[in-house]
Amino acid sequence: MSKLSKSVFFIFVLIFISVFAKSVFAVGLIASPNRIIDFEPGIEKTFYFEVTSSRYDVNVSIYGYLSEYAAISKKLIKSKDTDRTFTVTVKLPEKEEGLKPGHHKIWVSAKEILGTAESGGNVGTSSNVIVYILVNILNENKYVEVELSAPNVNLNEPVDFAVNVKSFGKEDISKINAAIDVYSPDNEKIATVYTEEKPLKSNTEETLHAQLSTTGYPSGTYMAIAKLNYDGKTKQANNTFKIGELNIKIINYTKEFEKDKINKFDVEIESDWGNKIENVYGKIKINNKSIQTPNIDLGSWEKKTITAYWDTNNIEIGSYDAEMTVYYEDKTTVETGMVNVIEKKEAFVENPSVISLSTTTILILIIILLIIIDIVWIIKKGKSKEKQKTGKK
Amino acid sequence: MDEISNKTLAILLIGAIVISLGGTLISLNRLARIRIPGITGFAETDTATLDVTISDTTQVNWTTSTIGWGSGTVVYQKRCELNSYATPDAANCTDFTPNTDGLVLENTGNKNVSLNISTSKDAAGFIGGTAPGYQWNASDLEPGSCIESAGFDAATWYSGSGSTTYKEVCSNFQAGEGIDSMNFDVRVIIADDAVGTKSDTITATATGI
Repeated sequence: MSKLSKSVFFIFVLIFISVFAKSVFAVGLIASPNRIIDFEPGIEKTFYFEVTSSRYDVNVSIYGYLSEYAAISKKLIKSKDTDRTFTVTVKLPEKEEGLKPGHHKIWVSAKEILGTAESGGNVGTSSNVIVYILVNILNENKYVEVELSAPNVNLNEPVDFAVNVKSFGKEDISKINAAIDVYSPDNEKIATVYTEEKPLKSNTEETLHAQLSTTGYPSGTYMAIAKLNYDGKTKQANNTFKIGELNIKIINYTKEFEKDKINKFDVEIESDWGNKIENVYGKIKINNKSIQTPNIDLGSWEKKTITAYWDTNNIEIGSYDAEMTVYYEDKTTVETGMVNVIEKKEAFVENPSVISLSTTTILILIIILLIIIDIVWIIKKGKSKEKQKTGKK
Repeated sequence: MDEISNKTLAILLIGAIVISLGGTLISLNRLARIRIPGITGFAETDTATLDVTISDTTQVNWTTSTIGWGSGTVVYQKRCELNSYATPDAANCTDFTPNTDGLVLENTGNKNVSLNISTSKDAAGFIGGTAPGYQWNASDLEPGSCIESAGFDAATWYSGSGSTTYKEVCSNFQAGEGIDSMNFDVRVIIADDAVGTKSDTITATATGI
């Protein structure tokens, strides 16, 4: 290979490495997804883990209640190790006596050991990751865990409540049912709805349903409290839900602007509506001028920021009234406020952006490579022709 | 008319190769996104079973992982603030390298996590000298990335407090694309009697939820 070809090859390799190389300043744990054990006397399960590549050596350990019944296969994974897997084997005792009922977590931790490499700079970084193995130990008697789901709706739409009941006791329950009390935004009880009745076996779950008609209810945030009855015992769960109307609120806006600069004027808005609102935009009247934001779509109950740009060249330092109007469907929301123009701050240095490996990047690299090959080929061809000519002479 | 030279032909040839390769790549890229129902005479009622287990990956990655202000001096009887978002004030600090980008932490796993932050040293251990300062703050780089823990506020600066204590930042640092990165700014205050090379490490601890 000629000197030129070698340099071309070297440049190309450098370009490729710089684009493909991605620094890893992290430690991660890859694990099988179902890391749950339901207690049975003497049950034994092994869980597999893998530590992702890292700059530092990594300590792996287990801790937490019941970790005495677990064994870890390795305690250290070096940064250069190729086998980065380890196992945690949990072997629960033959007798349940002395174990607390509940959902217990055996924590599995991977921590970078600082000092095995330089973190770099004045302020460097490291990371640790902790995951868990869940051990469920049932209660002796009838025991339930309750969750209430209450979806947001629009004006006059019904609310479908769902009461999820999980049995976490050793005894079956012959019947479960729930009454759901609904409270207005002013905290007044306005309705009670009832679910169906079902039996619930040990260590299983059921969902109870009830529907609330919201006809005539004003928009706002409501509270629902479910009272579950299970074989004479009770348990509660609560949740809030919104009844929405076609309205957009202005939550916040930029209040400080630098003089002699094109400033971003952000207006944060939030939808009170349970459907998408299309073509939302804002106009801001300020200092006898009007500036406008681009159109956006706002998802149900979504918060977003719309941005206009205000040129403060030749505008004096001081306070100015701003009238912000948000336009949507056939409606508008208007808010007025005060904004300040202040002295221009020091300019920040812009750093070059990071190159990411996209199809375009690959394409550019290929083109660069082809051009380089082309140049080399043309030069070589030219030289060999010259040689031929010189030879003929 | 003059004959086309070999050089021109070669350039034209390479141009054609580049255009066709580029076109092919773009086309392949686009074709990969199109789902075309297959036309086949094979029995429609035949079934197959596919089993796939997708592992949990719990991982946070510092995609911007260091801040370096280089070396410099603090003006006599002044206090110099170095931070990750603005140029040091020349009236108090000389020759330090400006940093205007903070640290960036990304949830590169496929699991939401809770997030704690700790520093290895406190201000005295890191900077030294008279009444040093060492603070950090955290905020969403991509809006919606962090559901803040009770007691944490993105607008507040927290003091570097040494490895024995940590601050709960997010009860849920999300793994979803477009909502999985956070920005960390750091600022230190150095008195004119602090000397030597200074360094510290900020540790992010991600716990699967």
